[in-house]
Amino acid sequence: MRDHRPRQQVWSIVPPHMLEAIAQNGTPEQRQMAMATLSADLGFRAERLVAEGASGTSVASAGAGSPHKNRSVFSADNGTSLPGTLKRSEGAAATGDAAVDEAYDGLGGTFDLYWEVFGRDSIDGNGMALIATVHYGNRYNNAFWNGSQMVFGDGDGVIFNRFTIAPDVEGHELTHGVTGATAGLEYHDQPGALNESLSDCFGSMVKQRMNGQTSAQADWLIGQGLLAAGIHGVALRSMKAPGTAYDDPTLGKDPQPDHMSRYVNTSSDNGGVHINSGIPNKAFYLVATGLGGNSWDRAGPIWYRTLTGSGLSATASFADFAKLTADNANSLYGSAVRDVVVQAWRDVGIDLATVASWYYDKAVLSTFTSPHSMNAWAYIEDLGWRKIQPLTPDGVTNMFDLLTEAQASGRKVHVYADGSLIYQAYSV
Amino acid sequence: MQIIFEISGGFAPTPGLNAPRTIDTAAIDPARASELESIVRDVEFFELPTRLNTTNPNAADYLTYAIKIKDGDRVHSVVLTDPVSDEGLTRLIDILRMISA
Ligand SMILES: [Zn+2]
Repeated sequence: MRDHRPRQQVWSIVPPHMLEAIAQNGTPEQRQMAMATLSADLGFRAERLVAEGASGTSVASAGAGSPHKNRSVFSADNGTSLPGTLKRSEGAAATGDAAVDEAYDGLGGTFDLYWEVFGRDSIDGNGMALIATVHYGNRYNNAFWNGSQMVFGDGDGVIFNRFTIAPDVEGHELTHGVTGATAGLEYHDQPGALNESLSDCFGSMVKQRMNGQTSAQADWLIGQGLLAAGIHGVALRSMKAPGTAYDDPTLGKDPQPDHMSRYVNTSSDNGGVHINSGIPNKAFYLVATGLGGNSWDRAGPIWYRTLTGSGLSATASFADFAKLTADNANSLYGSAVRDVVVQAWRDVGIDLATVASWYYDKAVLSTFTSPHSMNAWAYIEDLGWRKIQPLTPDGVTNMFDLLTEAQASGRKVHVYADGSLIYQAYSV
Repeated sequence: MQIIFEISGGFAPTPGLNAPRTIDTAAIDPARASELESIVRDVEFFELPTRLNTTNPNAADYLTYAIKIKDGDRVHSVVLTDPVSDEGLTRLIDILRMISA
């Protein structure tokens, strides 16, 4: 878990939900200390406490092993100050305001996916309250994540409808919070496009799960229903066929590529983070449909482990991310699932055969060494012939001995290899 | 007064809406033009820093607005991102959006 490593947010040792309980119920000194710690966290929790104090709602109590689903939907009443006026808190009845109720339901579907499928208690894994503000701005054509809460515009009604209309948008925005609390992928170029893609992948899973759709049944559209009547398009993005979501005189044509050969180099949109996300989006679609069943059965856990595991750096490239998904597919579900993942990335132009990975529990089927040189080879189950990395004569001899011994005794090995070389080997 | 206005980023940047727009106040509805000119005066546009607000590094999908105004021999550019809290600037962006729609 890397949820609590310090980033620009100030995390304290005491979990936020406990601080909130202390801030509300502790002694005056405890309350003051808890409030100070909470307000250091970008000020937003303190704002929430003020808002909740004013409206008389309470914070969910802490309890190990049980989730803390705590949604608050505010309205900016067409202004821009956040979070605005509280309209619906956890457990409250529908308000009849479509934007408020859609945000509440979309946040609920997102919370449920993270908790019920991945065992994650909210954005920070620690019961963080989910806050959304709707009716933001004047006919505002956008939805965004400000670093601590979701914000949705009503749309102008001419090009865009209200941004709460599609549950994958709520899932998308909330996932930006999860990414911020875990891998912290930087919001530019390839890491930024991965950040965007992860939001689309989890947003799409939220929608598919709420609709009870398998990967084969799902439409894989992001923001369906968001385009106003008369606009030529079906949605804002298509994970199944990036670049085909719209083609319209006002909007132009969907600029997403579906393959590395069409990668868009641009300085706009932080280096095309919403454009090149089409490539990893398509890979996720190919994995989910290739494996069959529901997207959250196996593709989801592979992507979730990649997002939250320790291997993903904040500046990861598509290839770095792809390699981790293959490794996680292998450790979660074995080599047949790994093969589906490798093929999906190959189909979008990322060839993992050229990227080194760990291969676990493989048999050594044959070995070979040339008599008067330090060159040695081994035939590894599922991989084929690989040369032992010729760094030092001793290294080659030691690894060759280990692999020959493994072959003779029938013991399996873990090897770190790419398409041509074995870099490390351990017998099991 | 000449204004070049460009929106980029957002949840779904589209090529059509993200192209820069040039607005010449001499060529638009006079009432709208004088409203625009008075807002530019009220927010003291030519005195504003070129980068108005910083974006939270964890934020995503926010819109970025680039506004360049030429008035006589004065030229000034300002870049700002959501959320924009200043009322005058919010109004300025709203009007520029309306005119360029
Ligand atoms: Zn996003």
